[in-house]
Amino acid sequence: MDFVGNKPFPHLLIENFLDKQKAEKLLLALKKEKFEEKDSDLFQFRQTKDLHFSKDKEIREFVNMLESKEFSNRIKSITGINVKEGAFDLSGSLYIDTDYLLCHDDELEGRKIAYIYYLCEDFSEKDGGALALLEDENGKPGKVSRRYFPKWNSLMIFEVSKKSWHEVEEVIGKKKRYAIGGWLH
Amino acid sequence: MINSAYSNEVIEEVKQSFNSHDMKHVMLQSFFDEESYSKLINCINNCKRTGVKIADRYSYSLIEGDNLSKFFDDKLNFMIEKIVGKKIKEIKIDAREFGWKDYTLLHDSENKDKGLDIFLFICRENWDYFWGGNVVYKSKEGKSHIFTPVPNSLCIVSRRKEDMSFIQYLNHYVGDEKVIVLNLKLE
Repeated sequence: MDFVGNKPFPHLLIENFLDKQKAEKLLLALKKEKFEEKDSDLFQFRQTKDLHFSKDKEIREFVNMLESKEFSNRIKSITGINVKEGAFDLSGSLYIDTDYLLCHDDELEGRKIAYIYYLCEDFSEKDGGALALLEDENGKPGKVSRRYFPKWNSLMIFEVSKKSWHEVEEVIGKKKRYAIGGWLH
Repeated sequence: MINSAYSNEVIEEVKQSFNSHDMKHVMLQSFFDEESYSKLINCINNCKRTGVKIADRYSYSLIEGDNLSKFFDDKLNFMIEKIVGKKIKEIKIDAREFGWKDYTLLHDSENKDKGLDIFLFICRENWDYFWGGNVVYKSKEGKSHIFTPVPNSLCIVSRRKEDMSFIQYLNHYVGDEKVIVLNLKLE
């Protein structure tokens, strides 16, 4: 695992993040949450409210896991970045046919690491929906350097900086791109 | 060149329509007569295109349309002057073509002063709003006004301070279709 050495900026995909049954139960719980349509010049997708306030047992368990010292220590050991225990944002997201998130860097005060936990079936080229990571060229986004198609039960983490240019490519077709994500502070 | 239906009486009605909105605007459909519009399309089809992209700002093809200004003569200037009530000196053409995956984004550094936007759509009939490619104006209060492409339509928008606009991302349903936005820049 080489978080720091991965290009174009530090990132890592951790596969089989949760126990398979736990992941399946979490997806069922996420599907019961209310998703609101979000759209602007930059994006079009659906999002839940802050999942910290979810009353669902499975989601509470997931939140508790992210809040645990064990998780923040694991993140620290992988990334070398000192994230605060229990300090994070999280919401569910759903991208369906034609949804997208155009290029941005995520930078906002306090955000150290962005995370996306995929709870959807595996995507491939024909389905779109890839997380594309772009090179930085003198402070501007350049070429796409890496593309990661959503993979069931995998966690993507990347360092947030002025150079962490990324986008979610348009979803094409019937697959639903469920995920839980946010930022570790 | 301009559709003869736009008589002085019609222009007076257009002016009233333009002035009747919070964000003053109007869309003049069938703007050129059919022959002129066909010639404009032929001319544009022969122009060179260059893809330009800065992913956090825009993605489109710039059309080298130096020879397009002949389609926009003094009559157009007079017409716009009558509608907006302002003197217009000179118009320069900025032509951009948008296809699948193209867009423009709002940007903090963008000019937020008030001003006049004039643009002509060139596209197929029955452009579907759902494809994207719509020109969206956002006010500082978050209200939006959307212009869905209609071929041979001239849009005139009086931007207020803090109003900003963008071209909505074009999704895969647009297929190989393109929309050209001819911006008439006032000097």
